[in-house]
Amino acid sequence: MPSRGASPGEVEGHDAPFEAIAALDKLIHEPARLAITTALSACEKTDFLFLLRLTGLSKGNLSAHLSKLEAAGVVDISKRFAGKRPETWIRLTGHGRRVVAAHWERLDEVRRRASAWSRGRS
Amino acid sequence: MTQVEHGTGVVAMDAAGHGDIGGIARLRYVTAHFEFLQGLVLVPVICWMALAMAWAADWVPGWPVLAAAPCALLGSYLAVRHYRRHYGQVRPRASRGRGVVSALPIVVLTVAAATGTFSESWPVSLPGIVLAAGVAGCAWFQRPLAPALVPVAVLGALLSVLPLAGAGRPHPLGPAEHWIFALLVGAAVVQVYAHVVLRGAFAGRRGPRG
Repeated sequence: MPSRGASPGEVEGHDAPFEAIAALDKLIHEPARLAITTALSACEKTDFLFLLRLTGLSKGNLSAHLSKLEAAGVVDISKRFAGKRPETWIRLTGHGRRVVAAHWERLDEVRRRASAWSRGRS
Repeated sequence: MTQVEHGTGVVAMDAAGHGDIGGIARLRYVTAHFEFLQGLVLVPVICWMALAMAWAADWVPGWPVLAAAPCALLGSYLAVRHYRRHYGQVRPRASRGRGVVSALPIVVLTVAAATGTFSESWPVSLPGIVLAAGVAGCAWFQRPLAPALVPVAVLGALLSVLPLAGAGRPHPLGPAEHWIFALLVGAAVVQVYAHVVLRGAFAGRRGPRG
């Protein structure tokens, strides 16, 4: 199931702040998943331990968030053995990279509009 | 208001994503430069190379260099294992060419040495000045490491331009083994600071709620 949300271009049409905010992709915007996807967007892939340490989530919480992202086709999870140790690697899919990039563009747009509105009022 | 805590700061944002974007920038930086920030991996090798330069400059006998080689390799191996077990692994994306900046001074010095452009008898150290400029350039692209890179660059530039041996006399950082030794000391300082940055990014984190 691909994640849904308006493209940055669709946000252009919104003047009211609420509509622009409502257009944000809630799958990505949840704080823990935003941290996970943002970290993954800065590299090719990471292992489970790195995301665990970086986000500070519990193993169960991180697994739950990754499962949601995997179900939406945002991340790809692969398991393999390095010697006798199992390793879990996580990477953004091509679709995931586009979704995360679009989400940050949308956030930047909302931020820019809010700043412009504040300047206009002052 | 929701919060994503990580690194040395907190990403606090409202529904529109307003808030401390510096925390997200830190998260991206640590992930993108994870290998580079594992400073303790290179410190033993850098120290061994500095010892080799000290031997080349006749400051120490040869046997400590040979004796320290296995220790340096073991130290690097243990550091790699430590980082892998405590912080995990990251496969970085393809480099975008910013590393060229750090390699540029080395290229300049190699060409200068090959063409005999600078002399060891000068009262200032031209290699030291070129390297200090290179380190300052790295500070521009590696802002989180600037607190270590800038002092190293400033100190290197000062040591290179001041006539440390007296007016008209050859500069102490003129010979290759001397300025390479100084470069390695500066590199070790930066690598230790990189480790501090990495530790700070992971230490004592409480995860995002949910």
